[in-house]
Amino acid sequence: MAKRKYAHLVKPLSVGGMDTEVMKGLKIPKGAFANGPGNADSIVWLNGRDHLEGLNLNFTWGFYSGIGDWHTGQDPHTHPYPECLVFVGLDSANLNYLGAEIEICLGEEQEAYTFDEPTVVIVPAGMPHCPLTTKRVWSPKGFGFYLASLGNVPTTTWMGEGVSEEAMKAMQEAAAKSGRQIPMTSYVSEKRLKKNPTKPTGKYAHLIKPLKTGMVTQRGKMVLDRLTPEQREQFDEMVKTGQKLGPGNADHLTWMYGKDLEGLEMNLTWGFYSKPGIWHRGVGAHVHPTDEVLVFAGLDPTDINYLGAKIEIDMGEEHERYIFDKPTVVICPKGLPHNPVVVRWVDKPYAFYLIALGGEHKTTAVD
Amino acid sequence: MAKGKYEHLLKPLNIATVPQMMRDGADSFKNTGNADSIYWLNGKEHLEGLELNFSWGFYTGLGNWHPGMDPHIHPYPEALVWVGLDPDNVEYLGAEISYCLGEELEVHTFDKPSVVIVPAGMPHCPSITQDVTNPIGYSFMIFSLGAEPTTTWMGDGMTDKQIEQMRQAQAEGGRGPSMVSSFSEKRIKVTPETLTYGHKYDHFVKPLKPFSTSLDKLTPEERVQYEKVTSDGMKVGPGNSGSLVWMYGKDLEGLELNFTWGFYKSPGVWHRGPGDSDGAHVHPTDEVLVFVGTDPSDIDYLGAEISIDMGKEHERYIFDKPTAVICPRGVSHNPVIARYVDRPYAFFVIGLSGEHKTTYVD
Repeated sequence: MAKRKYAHLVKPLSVGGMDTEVMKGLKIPKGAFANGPGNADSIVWLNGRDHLEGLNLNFTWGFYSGIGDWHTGQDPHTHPYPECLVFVGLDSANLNYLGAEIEICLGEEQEAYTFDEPTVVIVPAGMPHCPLTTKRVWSPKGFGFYLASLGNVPTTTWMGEGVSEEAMKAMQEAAAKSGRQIPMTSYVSEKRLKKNPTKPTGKYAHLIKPLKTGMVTQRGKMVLDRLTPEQREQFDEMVKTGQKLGPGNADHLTWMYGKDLEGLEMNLTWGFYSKPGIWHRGVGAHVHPTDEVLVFAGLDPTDINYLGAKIEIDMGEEHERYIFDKPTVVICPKGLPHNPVVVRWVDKPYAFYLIALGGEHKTTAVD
Repeated sequence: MAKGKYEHLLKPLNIATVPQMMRDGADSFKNTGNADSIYWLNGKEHLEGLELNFSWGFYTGLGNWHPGMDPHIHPYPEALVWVGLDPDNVEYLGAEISYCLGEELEVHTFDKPSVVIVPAGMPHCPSITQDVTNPIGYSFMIFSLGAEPTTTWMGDGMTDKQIEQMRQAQAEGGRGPSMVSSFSEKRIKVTPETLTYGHKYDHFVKPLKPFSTSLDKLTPEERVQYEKVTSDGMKVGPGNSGSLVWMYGKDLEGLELNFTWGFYKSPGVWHRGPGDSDGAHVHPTDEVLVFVGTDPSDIDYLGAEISIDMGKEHERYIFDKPTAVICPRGVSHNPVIARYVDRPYAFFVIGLSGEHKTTYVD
């Protein structure tokens, strides 16, 4: 094999792995990310500083099945950056199934909003949010969740009554002893808020969007009647140039743009994939004017390191090919040609999401 | 896309289209059973010197394939393979063929996909298409173990004018197949009375028997073979054929030849593993991998996009037209990945030895 010019852009998600078994086994406190019965069973958390080549992004992927608060005693909290919390189901046949009921508090008022379908919650920078509580879980597989935060270092100021500087420090030290670095800068707020969910007035309802509003592909076919005029124009242009979906592309896909995300400089997708073959026909590589990450994740909640498929992707104008069969993130800096994606085989449906650092998703074919 | 070291080993089949074989295009083959469209590649001009020439064509016509010209002989042995075009049934031919073998003009008739083995120097043909029942016709391949197609015609039905025309065409070059034709002193008359119906050459005519790649359908012998192939971790990938014919030298009267035939309908990799190689392997003998379409109305249509890696560097080549991939002994090749499939396509291996030894690399 020739020297691998883009190897640093293709990383197994396990580089951001946290051994939740170890974390859960820790004496009080359990650890910043497993400090609540509702929190992740298993999770990876990658950030721009340590894993994503400096991108102004940190993101997670995790499996959840527990009932209760996600960060007992620590919430509400704030971040200096905006973020999207994406709650998704693990039923690859139905993108509209979450299989759980979630309550999230928004604002200092802790207005408690509840939903039971796949949903993205948009949290502006500095806005207090949470407690976050898993009320019920119906799905025997639990559900999935990913965070997309527009900061390259996870940074949190905890405002809950049940957290202290000492506890936070002890938590981090304990986790560090387990051999894991918690890539989170935590602060404790001067101002403390008691956990006190209030009835929603609708003030923050616009921050909660069902993923179905962005549905672009269902059962392998594009949902053309849901496209905006701009999307339609882009689609027609694609068709004109001979581009079309390949057999390996999504069975079900939703796509939320900046305009759907309260104007965030971000667009993101969530989709299920189950078939071999190429993703896009009639086009080789393409570029975007903004950075993005492509995240390939498995859907087996018992093994976060299982993808269930073998995939190749070309990087750079040289079409350097990378092949993986474990959950992987592919970092695509602005202007760097990437694709095609070709799926060699699929044993079990897998998930894919992209997080792009622009409100729109402009794509220019390179070859 | 990669252009490089192994580019000369991938040949679009249309470098060897034989226009004069078109049934309606040439006087010699009008109203015959011969090909509607055909490729014919040979070692000398197209296959990097391999001791092989092979054809692929679509056929719908009835009647004698070379009226008046047969029987004929070659200085090399060959295998003639008739196959159907139903991707769901590899055992369906959709035609009835009568084929003469030997100076005795011993007639053999079959209506299933079959291979006829012809030793070097043995007179063979006429080949007569008695009936075509598949509305889209059928296909036929020649696998001949000589770098240059060479034929001595023995039929007594050729006119002097016809012979002169053929000689002239050959001298001019560029017309018709790249065939070195000569005309035997000895002529054999073909009439209903001179045909015979014995069994001397029965062993040269064999039906193509597929084996299933579904484990539950394997016979004990096939299972042994399958386990041998998969013992080092190789599995059948989603892009592979569900039903494949593989004939070895032992099935072909000891020819130094083995070949496969199968339809491929799905995207994905052909072989999974062992390890990351996904089927990258070498053979101790030369072989040619031939990817063809199944649309008789357009021989240049493949209906799929395929990628194949060549060499230990894994140089990747991508094509969406009928293509031959030459794999000289020791040059590693694969994985093969079907990126998309619009219409089932067909594939055959021509391996230049009786066995098919494979060593996985990487």
